[in-house]
Order: sequence, then C-alpha cells, then structure tokens
Amino acid sequence: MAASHTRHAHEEELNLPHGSSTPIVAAAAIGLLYIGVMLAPKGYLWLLAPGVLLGLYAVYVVSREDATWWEHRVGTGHPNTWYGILFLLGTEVMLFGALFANYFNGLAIQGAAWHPPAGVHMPVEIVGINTIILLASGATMHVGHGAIRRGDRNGMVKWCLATIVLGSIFIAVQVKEYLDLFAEGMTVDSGPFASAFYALTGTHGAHVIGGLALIAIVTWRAMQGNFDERRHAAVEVTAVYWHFVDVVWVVLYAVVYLRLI
Amino acid sequence: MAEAASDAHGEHHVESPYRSSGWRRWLFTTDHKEIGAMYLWLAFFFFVVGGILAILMRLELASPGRDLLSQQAYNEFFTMHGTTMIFLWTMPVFAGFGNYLVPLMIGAKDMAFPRINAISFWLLFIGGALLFVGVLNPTIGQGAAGWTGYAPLSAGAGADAAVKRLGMDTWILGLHILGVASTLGALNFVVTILKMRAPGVTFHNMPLMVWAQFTTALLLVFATPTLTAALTFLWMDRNLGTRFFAPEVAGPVLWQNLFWFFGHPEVYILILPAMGIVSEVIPKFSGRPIFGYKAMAYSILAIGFLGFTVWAHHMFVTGIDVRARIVFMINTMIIGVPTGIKMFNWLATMWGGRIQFRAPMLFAIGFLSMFLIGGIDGVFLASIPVDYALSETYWVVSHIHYVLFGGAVMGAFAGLYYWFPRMTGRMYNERVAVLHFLFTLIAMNMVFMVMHNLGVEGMPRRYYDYLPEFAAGNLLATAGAVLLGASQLLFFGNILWSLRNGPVVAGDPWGGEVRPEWRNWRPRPSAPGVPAAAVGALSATPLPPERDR
Repeated sequence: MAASHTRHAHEEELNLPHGSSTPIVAAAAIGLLYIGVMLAPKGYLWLLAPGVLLGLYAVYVVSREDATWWEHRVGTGHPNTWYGILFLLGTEVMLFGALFANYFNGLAIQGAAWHPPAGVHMPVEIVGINTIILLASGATMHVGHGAIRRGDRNGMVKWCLATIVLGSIFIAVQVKEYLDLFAEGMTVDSGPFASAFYALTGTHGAHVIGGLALIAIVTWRAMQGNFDERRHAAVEVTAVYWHFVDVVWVVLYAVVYLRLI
Repeated sequence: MAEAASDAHGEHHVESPYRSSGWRRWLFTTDHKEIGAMYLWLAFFFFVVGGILAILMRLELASPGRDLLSQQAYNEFFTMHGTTMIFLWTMPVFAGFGNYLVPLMIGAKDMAFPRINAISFWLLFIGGALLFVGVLNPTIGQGAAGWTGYAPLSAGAGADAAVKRLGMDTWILGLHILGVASTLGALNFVVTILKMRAPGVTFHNMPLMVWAQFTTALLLVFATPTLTAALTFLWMDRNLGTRFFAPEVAGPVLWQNLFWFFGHPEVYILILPAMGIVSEVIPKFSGRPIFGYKAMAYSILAIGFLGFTVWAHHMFVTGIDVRARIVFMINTMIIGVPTGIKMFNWLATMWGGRIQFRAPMLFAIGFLSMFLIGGIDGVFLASIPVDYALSETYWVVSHIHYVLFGGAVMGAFAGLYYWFPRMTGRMYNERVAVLHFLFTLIAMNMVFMVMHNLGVEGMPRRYYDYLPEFAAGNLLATAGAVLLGASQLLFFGNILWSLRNGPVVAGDPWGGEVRPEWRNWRPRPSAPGVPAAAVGALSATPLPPERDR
C-alpha cells in the first residue's frame, strides 16, 4: 500500500466512495440554516441553533471521513481538487464583483454624498494595520504550504496554527470596528452606503471565517497523520483560497477605506 | 445500477457501510447514475406541479373577469409557475441527463466530486420544498412578485400585502439554496469534463451533448453568484432594513441589472442542454454523423459567451442610456448567428439521411421548428422600437414558451425517449409516444401561437383579467392548455407502464452507430441473448469512446 502513495493520485485507479451519509446530512444542515436565517429576524433567533449545530456536525463527519479515507483511497485525484478550487474562486470573483458593482452603483449615482453618515469615523488607520496582519497570515500560510511540499508535517501544523492566530486577530479587530461603528450610529439600516459597506466587509469576513475553518480542518487532518510531500491537495486548495481572501481584502481596502481619508 | 469497486484493486477498497439496499441506497448514494435518476424523478414531479399551476391560470383566463382565482392567488400562481418550471423542472431535468450520461460519454467512472454531487441534489430537494412550504399554511403564502422578483415590489415597499408575507422570504431563500445547488453541480460538471475524460476522449471528439453540458456549467459558475448577491440584498432589504434597492441609488434598475446579468445566461442554461440532446438524437435517427462538428461545438461556446453580453435587452424600457441600448440590441442580434449555424447544421445532418420518425426524432424535429419560431420572436424583441411596443405583453409570454416549451421541454422529451432503454433496460410503447408528440405539438401551438396576436393587440401579461376583445384568443389558449395537460397523461402512462412491463432490450435498440453511452452498458441479466457471463464483464471497465469521425 505504501508504494501506491509514491505515485501521483491521478495515475492510479479511481476508488470512489460508493455511498456516504455525509451529503444528505450536510444538505439538511444547510436547509436548517436557511430556515433559521429566515425566521431569526421574525423573533425566533434560537432557530439558528439547529442549523449551526448540525452544520458543525456535518463538517466534522466530512472531515473525519476524509481523514480516515486518506490512507485507503485516492478519490478522483489531485487535478480535480485543483480545478475545483479554481472554478470555485471564479464564482467568488463574480460574487464579489456583484458586491462591488452595488458599491460603484451608489458611488456613480450619489457622487460626493457616497460616504458614511455624518459624525461616523471610519478607522482607516487601524484597518490598515489589520490589512498588514491579514497579509502576514497569507505569508505564514504560504510557508506552511511549502513545509508540506517538503513533507514536513510538523512545520505545516506550526505555520497553519500561526495563520489561524493571525486570521483570528483580523476577525477580532473587524468585530471591534463593527461595534464601534454601531456605537457611533452606523448600522446596516443607516442608508445605502452603510448597506454596501456591511455587505462587502461582512461577506469578506464570512469568507475569512470559512477560510479559518478550512485551515483548522487541514491542520487537524495533518495531526491525524494525513498529507505527505505528494498528496496534499486539500492543503493546497486551502492555501489558494486563503490567498484569494487576502487579495480581495486588499482591493476592498483600497476601494472602500482609502477613498475616505 | 452501481458496480462494486473492482476486485483488482481490492487492497485500496474500503467497504462503505452505506452501500446497502432499499431506501438507504437512495438516501446515501453518491453514484452518478442514481443521482441522475433522482434528478429526473424530482424534475418530472415538479413538471406536473408547474403544469397544474399553468392550467389553473389558463382556466381563470378562459373568460374575462374574475372566475376561479383571487387576484392574489393568480399572482402567486404565475410566480410559482415560472419559478418551478425554470428552477425545479428544466434545470434539474438537464442536470439529471448530464449526471447520468456525461460520465458514460467521456468514459469516466463517476463525477469528479461524488459527494458534492449528492449534496447538490439534496439541496435542490430542500430548495424546492422551501419554495412550496406556503402550500401548507395560507398565512405564509408564496412568492407573488413574478419569477423575476422585481424590486421594490419584492422588497415589500408597495401596498401589496401578499409580498409582505413570509412566503416572499421562502421564495427568496428557496431560490438562494437552488443557486448554491446549481453552483456546486456546475463546478462538478466543469471539472469532470475538463479532467475526467478517458484517454483518447478530447474536446474535439467528445459528444456534443458533453459540449452543451460543459458550456451550461460554465454559465452557471459565472452567472449564479450575481443572483445569490441580488437575493441576499433583497432579503436584507426586507428583514434588516438595508437600502440596497432604495430609490436614491436607483435601486430598481440595480435589481434588474443584477437579476438579468444572471437571468440572461440563465435562458441559455435552459436551452443549451436541449440543443446537446438534439445534437445526439438527430444524427442517430438520420443515419448520418453530425454535420459540422466543430462549428456546432464552438457555436455552443459562442452562444454561452455572448449570453453574458446581452442582459440589458430586458431593460430597454427602464430608461437606460440609449447608446447602451444600441450595444445590447446589436449583441442580442449577433446571437442569432451561432444559433443559425446550429439550425442549419441540424438540417444538413438530416439532409439526404435515412430518417426514422421514431418518438425521439419527432421531438427533436419539434424542437427545431418550435425553437425556430421562439428564436425569431426573440429577434423581434431585440429590436429596440419593437420592444417598446411589445414589452410586458403576451408576445413575451409567447416568445418564452416557444423557446422553453418548444425548445427545452421538447428537447427533454426527445432525450427521455431516446435514453429510456439505456436507463431502464426496457422499451416504451412507440405508438403512444408518437401520439404524445402529435397532441403536444398541436396543443402547444393552440396555447402559444394565439398569444402573438394578443400581444400585438396590446394585452398585458400578468393580469388575471382582460378586456372583452381578447376573449376569443384567450378561450382558444385555455382549450389548448387543457389539451396540452391531458396529452402529458399519455407520456406519464406510457413511461410508468413501460418501467415494469416494457419489452426488455439487450443493447442499443436504435441501430446505426453505437454511441459511447450505450457501449459500456450492462444490460438486464434477463435480457434475451445476453450470456450471464457477459453481464459482469461488460460492467467492469467503461470503454473510452472511439474517436469521432
């Protein structure tokens, strides 16, 4: 069995799962999440809980399935995962494209009036430092990715943990920024600029949290003994996703924040 | 249907605990053929639901005045009819054909991401349930702002109480889930076709059906996120007090831009797979290879690309800049060129062939003629001054139904009859199928042809009532709708009966060139003339399709 791992996955006979309970559990979790989101603003905030809990369980089950299968099967191969993430990022580009289109639509129509409500201070400097923290996390992720390419699983775990710390700092600062803005009176219902601002930064923040979850999963899998110098597609796509989230933030910072100096 | 993993590689094989029979098999399956079959079943279920909604609307419109439905019910019905037929019938039925056939056609063992494939199907199921949850409780209601959900009406800004109810939220979030499902499914198709082709299967010899599914998937990957964003904005405007579609930022036009940037590629998402099916059926039943393979393939790609450059032709009456209108008009008319190439190549394939008028071929010819009418209607609408007159009239209803019923539905029937033996191992009843075709063709023209006249005379769409001078045309359309609905009973009766009782087939029953998806087939063990030993051998490894001509 060990010999088979020295070859590239796509050179091997496909050995696919012939049944798995995870898809229907994951889909049910997504369905429950949507129902929770739908009813939360109607006064049933607690209804978010079932979707979140089942969602976490589904993520755990999928990750466990991946971790235990890693030894025994090659899936449909590394190129698939790679092309899958490239086209997934294509959808993300279009999603952020729509959010930026909404922002520029407001800018084009309102011109000089397209800014936060009077009296609200946008923390451009602190967010600039936060940008540097996020870029640093991109660097640590890159080093972690490089480590597993050399087969250094411990190095990868170390650098991925550093990435998680830096990414969490970024999220914490953003939460603090939101709380300050709420206190100063800019909430999601403070007009079109606030809507566009929270849509862009909130969607990005959700992607950062999703990226952190992915990094946590591959780190956990590495601790279980997954990944070597040839077979680490999951780490690779996680790194690519994380770099994409970094790049989007740089554009977002330039477009939304630097204009307000 | 699914084979066990090959014994030669048993050392890698992990026996999954879920590979079991009965209901568990269907809930836990990750096999592309089983998932494809489930897509088809669910799609045809929603075809019935959407059809019943349509017939009830036509009964309301049989005579002027309010007869059957309340104003609000009528709004809900046309909204849910459009949403159902587009998102829960046409897209899933072609996803079903794609799931079942694309891996067979390219010699792949399964889709690239089998588990994501299953998630995509179950999300379709959940999204459809959410869209219709209002049926259970009238205080929830359903979406009532049209399938296009124009803001600010859909944002609940107007006086219409119907769109303020929870049903509008279930519509928004149901569609949102369907968007996620489509994106996941499309990613799967793109990667499968790019990276899972067997040795020797190239982009220049794979079946045109695969080209069509590939282009459709690309359109979904790049168009759906815009709908996702627009629906998210809409939901937030309704529930969190955001101001995305507020008048001070020209929100209503913003909604239309976002929606149609998705919505126009969407209509090609609906029709391209049907073109792919027809491109398989016509050569088979003409006894000739497809004429102009490469021109056909690149025309599909060209239609897909141009589909992203024409969205504002839905917005000529919104007052957007006239120079932009001209660009969108020209781009729209250019789409007629690759479409015309396809049309002529289908005809050239049939020219001089030995045509067998079997049910799949009849539906393919029905597709060509009806889609041609719908396409020409569309070129009329692309012309800015004509669009001013015809916008929001029954001409538009006629156009979309010639394209989507005459095109997509005819294509789906052609595919279903053609591959029914491949999927079930049994043959349907040909005579009933031909009757199904004839009645469908006649009835659909009764319903939709007269709508051209109604539209030109100025009857607006989306009203439950109309002026008395439109009464004769509406009565004819209603009679046609009832006949059209009844004709489908022939189809369902035929298919459901043949599933159990149709004659068993041992291989490709159509004769002529054996296409790749029939080659790696394990017929029923009970099939006459198939030695039992051959049954297992046939299933072991999928053969790569031979090089096309």
